[in-house]
Amino acid sequence: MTEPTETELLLPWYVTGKLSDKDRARVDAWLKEHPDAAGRLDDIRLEMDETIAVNQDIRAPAPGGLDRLMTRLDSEFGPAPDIEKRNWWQKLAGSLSDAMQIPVMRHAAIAAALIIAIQAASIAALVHRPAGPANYETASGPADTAGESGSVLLVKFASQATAARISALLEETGGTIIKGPAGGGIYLIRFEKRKPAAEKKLIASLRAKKDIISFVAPNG
Amino acid sequence: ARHHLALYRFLVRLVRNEAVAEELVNETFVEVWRSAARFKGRSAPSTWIFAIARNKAVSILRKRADEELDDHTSLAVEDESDNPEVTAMKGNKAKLIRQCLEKLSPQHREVIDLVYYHEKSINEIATITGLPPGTVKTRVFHARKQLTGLLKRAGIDRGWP
Repeated sequence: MTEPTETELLLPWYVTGKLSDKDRARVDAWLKEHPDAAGRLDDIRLEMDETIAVNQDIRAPAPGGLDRLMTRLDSEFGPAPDIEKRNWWQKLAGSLSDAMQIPVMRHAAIAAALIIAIQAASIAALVHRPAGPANYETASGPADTAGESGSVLLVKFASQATAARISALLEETGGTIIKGPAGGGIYLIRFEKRKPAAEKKLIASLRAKKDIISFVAPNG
Repeated sequence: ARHHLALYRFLVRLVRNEAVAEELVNETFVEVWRSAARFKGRSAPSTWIFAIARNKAVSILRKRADEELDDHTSLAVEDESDNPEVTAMKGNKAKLIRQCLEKLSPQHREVIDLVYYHEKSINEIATITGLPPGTVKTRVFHARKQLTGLLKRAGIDRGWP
């Protein structure tokens, strides 16, 4: 068997759609020159379908994982015994040494931890999907829903807000971070589509939570 | 929830033990929490998290390689009633491919999952595995070549990886 060309090595990613524009164009041109290669793409698609099936056959773990994780985080990152009491959030922020001097880096680092913490909170919502010839779905699931309609608000979290309280609030209100942080630590958060009066009520209730939210406004 | 299920599945496929994989998910998030300050945003957070998870799984696999195999840590034991050759005779190609995918080596299984199920790009897989992008491409090629070999043994000749 001859060694593959550089272009042939790209075929799996061509099928999954994860090539740069330049590489995709290269494969397109190669496929035009090798029309007999269409069968190879079909084989790759079959490999992909069955890889997805094999993975989907793995059931979600039993509920309770979040509790165990949070207990562990509590025991490891609980308040420091020193005079200045710190919650998780402040301890994390305090550990960002040089990064904290640069506002953009500070927000980026905190944003990463926030997104991670919010994702960690969603372990509790893991749902078993039945195995079998259901519609196949890759790890990323349906297309990104950032474009879906909803009430989108600009939100800045209070500096003393803990990740656990933020994620609990988002869980409670059905909010999803879709972008951020932008300058000044502002996030775009989407909530279920509401009529204007209901949106005003949501904004008022979020504003009332001054220990978690320092700023909230409609986006546009 | 979707992303955490994906991480859990990634780990199950690596370590072949659901309880260990679940513990590794927790270990990963504890590590992520500890290391959040070091995350520079050069990759997507999920790629970074997968890389941490993978390193933890590899540590377990290395330790396991030194231990005597037992019922809990051995790779899938051959089940003569459900091997590719028998399935080929039954004419179920999809099931056959699935069986052959399960028989890939851990290194090959990992990259095949990352390409097809987790839909990672070449550079993302390079970040997760610590391999150069060129090696990622050839490893996927060799994984597919191994798959072709397994299929051929079961009677399906694709002629190429």
